[in-house]
Amino acid sequence: MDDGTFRCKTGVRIVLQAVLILVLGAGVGLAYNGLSASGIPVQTPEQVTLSEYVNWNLYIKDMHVSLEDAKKAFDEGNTVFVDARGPADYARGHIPGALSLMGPEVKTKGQELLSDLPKDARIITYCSGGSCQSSLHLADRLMDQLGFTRVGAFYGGWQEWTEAGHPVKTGDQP
Amino acid sequence: MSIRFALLTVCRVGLGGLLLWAGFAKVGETALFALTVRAYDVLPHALIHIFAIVVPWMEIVAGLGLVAGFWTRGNALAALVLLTAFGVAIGINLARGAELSCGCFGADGTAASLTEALVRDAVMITAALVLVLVRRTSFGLEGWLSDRSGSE
Repeated sequence: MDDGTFRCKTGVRIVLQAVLILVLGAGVGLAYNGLSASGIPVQTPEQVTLSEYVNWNLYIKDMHVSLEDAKKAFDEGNTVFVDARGPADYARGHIPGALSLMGPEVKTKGQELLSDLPKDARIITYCSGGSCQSSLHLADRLMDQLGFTRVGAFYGGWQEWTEAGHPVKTGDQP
Repeated sequence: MSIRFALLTVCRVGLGGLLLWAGFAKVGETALFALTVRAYDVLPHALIHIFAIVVPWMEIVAGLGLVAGFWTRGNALAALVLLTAFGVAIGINLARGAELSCGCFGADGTAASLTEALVRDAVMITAALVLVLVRRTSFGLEGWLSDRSGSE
């Protein structure tokens, strides 16, 4: 066989291999998606829920704090927790040590409350959980208005924290 | 022989390793990756979830083949197809001036600008092209197998 035929045959073989590899990848992908707990519907839904969207935003901004992250930070004690819910909810129960601060108060009460904290201190905000947005707003404001650089939002919030049976404290003191 | 061998091995293992990393980073968070794909806004609506489901595993399979050195040219071609598709999606969004995070290595926020992602994509495309075009790459599993069988 001459060199031309050889090259042509090799070319076809490589293309076939590539197709097979992509098909195999697709097959494994579909199987994994079907079996895995983190699988998604094959059909794309019309709308993204607000909750999904917020969660995704936290990930891409590297601000997402999971329940495990939050508990670890709590145990290590090197993180300031900030509760973004109202004072009444805070008094009924909060993460021990958490400060009470609502988004709109960042410039006033927040400035005072966090004045001793270095700007690169690790801060985690949370609200009631489920699909509450105030932890995210508060985190944004702590960065934009007070210049903190390491702020994360614990999106699972109070709901996940209490469901996991982690420590809580009642009353209006941290 | 030895410099050529070393360069090709770096291309092969480097490209394979990056694909494995990118694939595995997205595999456990399909829902997040689907939102990233949606944000790129280049695919027809119906294909968004399918793409998010199959692409990470395509990266992993091709990455494994490259690292092992099995069907090197075929795996490099598969990688080339994927990387070209990524490049087009990134390029379109750069042209639109969209503010997106790459999402290439999962939605972890460490990804820098789209420009940087495009440069990285171009480097990977170059490596893939080299591996597709080099006629005889007798190294890795493939070389070992053909040496043993005495063929080629």
